[in-house]
Amino acid sequence: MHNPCKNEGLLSAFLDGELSEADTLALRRHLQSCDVCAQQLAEMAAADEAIHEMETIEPSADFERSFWRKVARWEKQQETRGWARFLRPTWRPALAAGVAAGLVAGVFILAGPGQGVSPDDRFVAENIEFLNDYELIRNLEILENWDALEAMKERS
Amino acid sequence: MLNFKAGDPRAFHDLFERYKKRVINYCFRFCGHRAIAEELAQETFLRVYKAAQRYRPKARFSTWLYKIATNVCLNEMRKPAYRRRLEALDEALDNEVHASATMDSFRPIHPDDQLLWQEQQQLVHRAIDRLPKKQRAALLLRVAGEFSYAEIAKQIHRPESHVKTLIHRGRMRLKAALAAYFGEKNA
Repeated sequence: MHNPCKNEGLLSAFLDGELSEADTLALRRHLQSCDVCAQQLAEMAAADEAIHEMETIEPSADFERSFWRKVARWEKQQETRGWARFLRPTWRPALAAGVAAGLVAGVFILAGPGQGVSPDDRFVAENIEFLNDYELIRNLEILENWDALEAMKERS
Repeated sequence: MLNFKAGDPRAFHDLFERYKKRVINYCFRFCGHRAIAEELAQETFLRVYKAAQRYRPKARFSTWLYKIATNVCLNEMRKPAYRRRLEALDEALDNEVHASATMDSFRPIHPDDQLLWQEQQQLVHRAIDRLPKKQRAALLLRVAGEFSYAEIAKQIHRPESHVKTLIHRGRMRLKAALAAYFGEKNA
């Protein structure tokens, strides 16, 4: 319908309660005497009513469960990303230094004192006082260098 | 929301319970399909959940929530797959009886009235679907969400004067598209 008053914008704002008090009063007065505007306002209100009367739906049985599954998936991703941030370029030098320090420490621990001790040496160390009574142990140095001593003897 | 931000998980559950039906129905009015509406509502709440730490109470919580819902709906509509999916769902819907135990709207009891009611519902959904995106958003935020022009301006990042124009134009288009609906309703 053509509105000769060209009031549609005002009518819309009036319907939404967005006009000033003065404009509202003026439009109310106009509506009492203008059938075209009154008809247009009624049609606009009916369009709003059609939206209000649209069917409303209830959440499906799976709606909530499905939502929390999505939340759980996102939280898991966040956790993974938390670790993955250490692989970002800015962290790479620190990460490389850490790995290198770990390797050095590992080598040191594996090859350090205690790891290379044979069971025989450990037995001797633990029982040295007892073994000191034996001739063999007292002359252990001579026995260990026996070959050298033999060679010296032959030369002389 | 501030309680959730402070670390109270129950606070989010309460918000979710309070707003889930409203958000689903807002998205349903936006897209016209239950399955899509539920996905969009879930995406809305997921974004709220993710953004909790950045939340600043500059406006009502519902203003912020509907702003996110509107963005989610508009983003979805921009995807090329959306239109194809909508058409496929429309076809499936035409072939099935509109009987759902979970719908709580005022569905008529008499079969003839039901048929007419279903046709009218489809007509309204299609009329809304034909509205330009911003007009649709502004009109639905005003009529279905009952937000003021100032709030809608914040929600869709437009000046208030533009919001007023969008709502007016959307309403005029809807009015014209629903002429048949009003004819049948008053018959």
